[in-house]
Amino acid sequence: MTAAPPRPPRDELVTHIPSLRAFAVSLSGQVDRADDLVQETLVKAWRNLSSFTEGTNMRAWLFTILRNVYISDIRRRRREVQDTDGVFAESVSVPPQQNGHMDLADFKAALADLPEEQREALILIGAAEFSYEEAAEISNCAVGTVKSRVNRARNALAKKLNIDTSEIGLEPTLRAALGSSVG
Amino acid sequence: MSERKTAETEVDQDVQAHIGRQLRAGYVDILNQPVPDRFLELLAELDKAQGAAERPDDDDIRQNGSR
Repeated sequence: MTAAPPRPPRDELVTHIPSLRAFAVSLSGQVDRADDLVQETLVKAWRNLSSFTEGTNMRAWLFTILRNVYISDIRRRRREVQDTDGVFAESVSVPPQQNGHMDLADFKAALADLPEEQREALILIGAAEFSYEEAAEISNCAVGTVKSRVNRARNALAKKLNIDTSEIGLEPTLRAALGSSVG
Repeated sequence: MSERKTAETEVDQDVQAHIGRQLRAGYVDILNQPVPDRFLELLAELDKAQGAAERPDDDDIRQNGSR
């Protein structure tokens, strides 16, 4: 035997809690709300463990559940608030600074300001490091749609954050080129 | 035209790498935090509730019979 015996699904569940929290915080921008989303996800996952196919990607399976819990939560909030702008405004605590300096707080604010589906795609690919195919399954859309959302998200972030290219070590000629496309 | 295109592509790669680092930093920050007790307590409760509803030697049956 070279490979360790597979972990029972209910034991493996625990090992994915940090990933679920990271995904939920990235999506919602709020730790308290994120932990409520994770709690609901764990209960749903526990009750549906029999539908999980052992040997497949449990992290992707759990992310799908969390994503659906999150969407339900957004819809519930929209109904309660009767103000779609207010739902996302609350997660943007600090507007991005316009001085070209991009620190993590600016970045989080800009991320929170993206359309839901773009933020989700960017997090799945850029932070959670899923493949485009896995992300498409989690988001229940085509692979091309994920790619397009990620591209739009990245372009929007670059513009919003007004990145000072000198801070990231670009040549002046490149900086000039960037100035025409971003800013 | 092709030179300008190349320059823009390189700029784009640098900017995108920067965005990627920020994105990953926020995510990893949460990822590295210890699991809050509320979730361990929740799973223990679910386990207990299930154990009360099923036979106590259910574990072995579940592990061997779920394939």
